[in-house]
Amino acid sequence: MRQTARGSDPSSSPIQPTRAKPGAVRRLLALGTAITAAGLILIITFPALSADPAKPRNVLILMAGEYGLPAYDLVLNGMRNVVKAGYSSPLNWHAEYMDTARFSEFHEEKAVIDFYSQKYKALTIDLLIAVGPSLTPIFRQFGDHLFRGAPTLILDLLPSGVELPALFRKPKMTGVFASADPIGSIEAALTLHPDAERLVIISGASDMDRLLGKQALAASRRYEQRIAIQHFIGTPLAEMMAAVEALPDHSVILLTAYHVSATGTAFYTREVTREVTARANAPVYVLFDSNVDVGGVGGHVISFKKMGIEAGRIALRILREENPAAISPVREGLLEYQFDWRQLRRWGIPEGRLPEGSVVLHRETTFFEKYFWAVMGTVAFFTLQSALIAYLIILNRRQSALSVRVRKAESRYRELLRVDRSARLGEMAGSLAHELNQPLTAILSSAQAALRFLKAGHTEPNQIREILEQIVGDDKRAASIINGVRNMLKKGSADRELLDVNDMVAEIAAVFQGEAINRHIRVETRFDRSLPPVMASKTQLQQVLLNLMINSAYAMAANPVDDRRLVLATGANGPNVVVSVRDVGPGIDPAHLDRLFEPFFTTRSEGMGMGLAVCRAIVDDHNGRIRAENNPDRGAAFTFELPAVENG
Amino acid sequence: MGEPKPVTCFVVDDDASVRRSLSFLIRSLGYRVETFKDADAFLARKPRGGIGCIITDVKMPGMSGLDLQDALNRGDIGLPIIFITGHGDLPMGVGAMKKGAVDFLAKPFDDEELIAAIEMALEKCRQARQRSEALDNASRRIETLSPREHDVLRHVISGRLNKQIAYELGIAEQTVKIHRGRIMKKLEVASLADLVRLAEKAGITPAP
Repeated sequence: MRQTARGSDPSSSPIQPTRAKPGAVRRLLALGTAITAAGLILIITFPALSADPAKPRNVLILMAGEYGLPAYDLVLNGMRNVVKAGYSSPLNWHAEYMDTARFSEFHEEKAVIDFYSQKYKALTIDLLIAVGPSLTPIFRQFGDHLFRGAPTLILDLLPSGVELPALFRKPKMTGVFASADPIGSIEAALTLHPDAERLVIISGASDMDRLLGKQALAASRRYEQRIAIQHFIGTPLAEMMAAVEALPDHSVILLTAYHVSATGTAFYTREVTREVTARANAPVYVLFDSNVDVGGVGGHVISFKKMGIEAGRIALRILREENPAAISPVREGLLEYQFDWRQLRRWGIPEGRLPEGSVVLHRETTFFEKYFWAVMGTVAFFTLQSALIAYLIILNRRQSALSVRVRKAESRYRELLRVDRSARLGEMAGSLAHELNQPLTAILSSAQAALRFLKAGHTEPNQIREILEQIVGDDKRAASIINGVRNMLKKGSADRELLDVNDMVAEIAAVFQGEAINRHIRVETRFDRSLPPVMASKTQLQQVLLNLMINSAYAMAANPVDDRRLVLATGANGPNVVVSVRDVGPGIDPAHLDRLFEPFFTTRSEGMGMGLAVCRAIVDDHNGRIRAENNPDRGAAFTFELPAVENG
Repeated sequence: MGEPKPVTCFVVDDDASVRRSLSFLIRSLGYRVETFKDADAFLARKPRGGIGCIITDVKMPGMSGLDLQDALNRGDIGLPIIFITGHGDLPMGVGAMKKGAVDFLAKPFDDEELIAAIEMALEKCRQARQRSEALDNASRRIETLSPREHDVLRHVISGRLNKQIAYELGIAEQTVKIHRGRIMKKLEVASLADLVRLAEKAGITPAP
């Protein structure tokens, strides 16, 4: 290696002159240097020739511009990737940078190409790839003779509207041709800035720069009515820079190409774009994808990358021995709308305004976008977890609400039972008073009798003891009635206990006795003395019986006074203990049998209709059954069964 | 105070406690007591003669106290009734009193109330006994009259003159006078007023 082709480092300075030797003599000198420099054969791929029996094929890339031109990076990368992926045989890559494009007054490109032709005389060039700018006219004229008529693929920029067939009808040649679209970029700029009032067109001083600048200016004419047009075509750099720093509001800039300044200094458009966008107070639109990511907002740009890809495809076909003349040149699909997301942000342009199919570069992915699935997964997890927790909380609340309701219902139920009991006792208030009156009367009389005996001096101990025992007995009797009533009235009377059913029935029969007498009812008890006990609330079962007995009493109200009989019977039915209340009344209307135990069902005018509903609720609560039926002869029978306690 | 006459109180009550306590109380007054658990049992006992009274509850299974009163009024057991009741049923009490009850006591009652009622009942009983003795006496004397004297008596208490009686019976006025004299003598009465009262007691109906 003798020398590197070019030492410029684009990143070291915003605008780095690529060459600073203006003038014709120097240009000749430069030509020599360029040729020397470009003569460096860049063997990009150098497979082991000796190892492979197949002779490597030679590909020569001939470039009109200089090494380092950003567009070449895009084109060459795109092309080589396609070829590498599609062609496995060994290839010798050769590349030559003619570096003539920047030299406006140098017109000896043909000589340079001849020089290369000579240089590669010894090699068979299997594919010549000629990359513009401005090589098309030379190849159109001399292509048949260059490089001994090697198959040629030309990549170039053409002015828009040039008819290709007229331009290109040589054998063994094909190409990829793109035309810049200043109208597209201007249109895009005006669409994205609806309030734009001024369009500033910038181009350098090279032929190509001026050509593009003039194209753009011509294109902008159609917007004259809408906006002011200002242009800096070939304007000295400093002047142009000063101007773009102080543009009026609502200006937009179209930077076409800037390869050479008015003073002849060479630049990269890319670097000029970088500097202009950094300093201008207006958004900058461009014509080439190579200028989008350095500060330009974007535009309808030529995609060098796409050109490279298309070139790669054609190169593959040629390497596979297709006749280049048979391969249609590519002219379409090489432009696209490209925008830099950062610039859209900077100028406050909503993405919704972008033309359809726009490619947005450098979109800053948000944390959310970057870790979409991780975020979604996490969110889903927490959502699920939260939902689960919420569900559990709701469940818990519901449960506690339910248990509160259950407790309330339970206490209401107990209250209802208590109210029912007090109502029953209220119905019997008179007879209960009578029942209590009896022992009280007896106590008073006995005590007064004793006093009289004592007063009269009759103090036989046996007599006095007999009287006192009577008093004690009567007092106990009174107490038990009061207890019975109090039990029926007190609230917490649901306690279950092992219960002898016969005792329970006898007790409530005693409470009912007064009422029975009042109503001329003879109460008979028929007890099965061998019954096992039940686990039940005595008060509640007595309430059931009291309800049933009172119902029976009402039922027999129309019977003659000597024909009112109520039978309380206990017995067994399998594992169940059975208690029944039978009367000799008119019986139950069969139509009513079904509804008898429903709440508020009553045939009596003064009743609430709760008595039998309460009975059923209590018996149900004890896992028992209650039923009503008519006796075979006459009257009705109400029977309830409760499960007996085993081994009781 | 003379020789104590045999006095018996009959207690009819379905409540054993009440029966026993009343029997204590009545015995403390020095009277005999008999207790019955219902009216039927008492009626089966058929007490006759003697001084006494009945103390009964109004409401009992089977025959009530009032039913018992009706039965007694229909029959010949001339014992006064004291009602005791746990219900203090005033209309019922009024009815009972109209039918001749001595008293109507609400349970529980003070011993003085019961004693007063018993004394009143016993007095009433004694009077009744005396009346019935007088009746027995008059009846016995009327049985000594001849049929003709009996006929004349029925005309005399109907307020007719001797002449009218003679005409009615188809006998001489003098004969009527003789019959009247014998009647007054046999019946041991001094005046016409006494004669009329006695005949009424004995149940002699005046001639139409």
